[in-house]
Amino acid sequence: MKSMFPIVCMFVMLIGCVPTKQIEKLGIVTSYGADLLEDGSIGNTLLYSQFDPNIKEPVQTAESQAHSYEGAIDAANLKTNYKLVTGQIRTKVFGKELAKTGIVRLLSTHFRDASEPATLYIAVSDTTAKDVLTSTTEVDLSKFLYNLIDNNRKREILPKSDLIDFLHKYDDVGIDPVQPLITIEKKRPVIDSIALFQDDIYVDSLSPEETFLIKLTTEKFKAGTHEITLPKEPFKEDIGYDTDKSDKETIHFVLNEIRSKSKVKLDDTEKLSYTVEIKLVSRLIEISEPLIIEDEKTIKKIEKHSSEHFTKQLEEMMEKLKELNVDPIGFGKIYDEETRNKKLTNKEWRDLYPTIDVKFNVKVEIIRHGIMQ
Amino acid sequence: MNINVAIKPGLRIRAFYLFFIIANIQTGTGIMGVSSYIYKEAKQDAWLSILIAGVFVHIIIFIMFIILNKYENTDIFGIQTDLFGKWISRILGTVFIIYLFASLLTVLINYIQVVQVFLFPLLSPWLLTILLLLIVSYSVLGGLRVAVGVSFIFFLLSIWLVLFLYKPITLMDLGHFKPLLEASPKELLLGAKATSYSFLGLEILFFIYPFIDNKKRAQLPTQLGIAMTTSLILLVTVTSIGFFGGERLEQTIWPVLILYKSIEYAVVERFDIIVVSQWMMVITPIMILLVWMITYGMKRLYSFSQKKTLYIVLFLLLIGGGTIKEQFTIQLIIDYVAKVGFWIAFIYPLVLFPLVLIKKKIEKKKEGYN
Repeated sequence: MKSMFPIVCMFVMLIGCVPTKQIEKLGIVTSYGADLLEDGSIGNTLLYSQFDPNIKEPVQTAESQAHSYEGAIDAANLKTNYKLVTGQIRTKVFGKELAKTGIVRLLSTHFRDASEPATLYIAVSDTTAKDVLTSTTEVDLSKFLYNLIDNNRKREILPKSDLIDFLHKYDDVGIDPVQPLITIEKKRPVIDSIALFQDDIYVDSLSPEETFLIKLTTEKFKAGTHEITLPKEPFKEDIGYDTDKSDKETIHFVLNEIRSKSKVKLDDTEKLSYTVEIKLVSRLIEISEPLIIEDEKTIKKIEKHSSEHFTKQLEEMMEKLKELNVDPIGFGKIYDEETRNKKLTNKEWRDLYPTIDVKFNVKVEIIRHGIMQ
Repeated sequence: MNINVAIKPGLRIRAFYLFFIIANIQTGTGIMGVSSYIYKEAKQDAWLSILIAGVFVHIIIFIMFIILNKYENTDIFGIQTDLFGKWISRILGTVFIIYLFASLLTVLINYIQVVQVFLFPLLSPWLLTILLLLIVSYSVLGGLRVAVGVSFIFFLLSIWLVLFLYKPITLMDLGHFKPLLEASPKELLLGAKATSYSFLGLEILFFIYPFIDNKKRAQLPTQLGIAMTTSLILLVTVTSIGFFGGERLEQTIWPVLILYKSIEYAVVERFDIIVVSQWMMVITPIMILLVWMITYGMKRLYSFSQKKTLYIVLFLLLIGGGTIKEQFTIQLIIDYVAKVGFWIAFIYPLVLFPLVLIKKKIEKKKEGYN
């Protein structure tokens, strides 16, 4: 009996110690959008859902004006009859104007406040975040946005991009984050391209074609797909019969099951010259012309021309990145890792970056060409 | 006070349990934040600092065993009495007990703080303290064998948390470790010293030794326990450095919990909440063992009843746990315990070692003359 006493005590005391949260009374914030207002404060748009059985529209929006993220939730609580809670937030959308002034101040709370989740997606809106989050009421926009990014990441179209990745690249000197850029098409939010950040400041965007190149240099493809366009000229003799009557100058190939490896090497620490080695192994699944692949020579020709094509594209993109002074590939990080006893500062690297010299070395290998010759 | 203590066979424990006792008492709340401490000193070479610290602790355990094996069946109080006489040994013993109490207090307030930050911000610290102290008093009243049993079971029940670190490990950036070996030897040693709060607890060997049944086989499980702690600290530090890198790691108070925060499953979306709750199983054995050490020490030093000491300790803990709330105060106490603990747990055995050797040699000579 004596030993039962503490146990009974515990059960008695455990009741009603913790403040309760009834799920019917909660408004669960699932998406958050922030825009810069003219007076410098932030206009917030929240999407929240409830589990109230009497309600017809489960997803509702609330707007507020504040200077911080937690403040925005608090201010929005005045406009709703539910208690807003943020533990289920999945996507944060930032308007273009706000993104141009830096977004990390609205994100750091996820690492400071333990009750905030750390796994969520970040997106930049081509117009304003409000436009994206109020674009349609037909679908659950929170789910839509989350799956839009998640699905494209899994299909290896988007590079790695979420809060953890953003903060990781923001913290490290010599590498800049990229995040999806969202625009509205036919009243639905769609991914338009990739937003380039300089630290946490939105600078410019990259086309889907360039997104592929960024992913090619920074990550490994496991099963990607990509369409390439090459000039028709070198392949003229291999085309069996001309079906396409329109006199096009180009020929299109689709590469599938792309597996790639890339390695960035710093050749010279003084001159800052880099070599990027990329090896891309893939399967050819579609050709826009009836190309006859009888021997290895044709395949070799495709490989050679597509290698040149990628190299040229990469060089063009590199020029653009240097001009913008953003470093999503992380050349600065490699420089910092290779130099001893000196910590690279962000400012130093911004001065050095436009002077770096990058050589690309792309090797395309087509191991199969489908079930046709 | 007798130098050697006689323990009834029914109260003894098998040497095998030393592994769980050592691994458990060392891995407390310290491991949650240790990586940022080491990183501050040794930067990306923190892993090397941990290995240095680990080797050092292995050597200390080895020395502690040599000291203890010189005697028939004794503990730290017996050794001190033998070396310094009655009064000095009492002062030293009291310092030891005060240190143990302070270290016990840090475990409690640190855990309460973590619970308030991660789980229930509005929960009263008094309540949590009372709940924890009930479990502690219940086990301590059962004696050492219950305390050891609790640490054995809770170790097995909480070690699985390590497996779930695989997710942050996949998010690691190995570039954060480059350039290798940039830290100077001094920085590496300072980094090794920064681990001391996490390695504290090995002094339990000085208390529990007389209770071990098969003393000849005690060395191996103890050393394995130290190896377990070292590898755990190494694992969380390497993962934290790879995951956070640089400044963010230095600013983070509990990097390990943030690591668990990045894990998300369809069923369990916030894994850190499970970790914090589960952590109770990690800290209860520590508190139980420390309280037992204090009560046992008071009995040996002043022949004070163990029950009375228990209630006094619990009362003081209750007041400490309920009133100390500020993050900075808690940090200050922890830093202080870490500093004192470094001298008591790691340096003190090294001081005792030559003294015991000399004393034993003199005794042998005397016997020889007789």
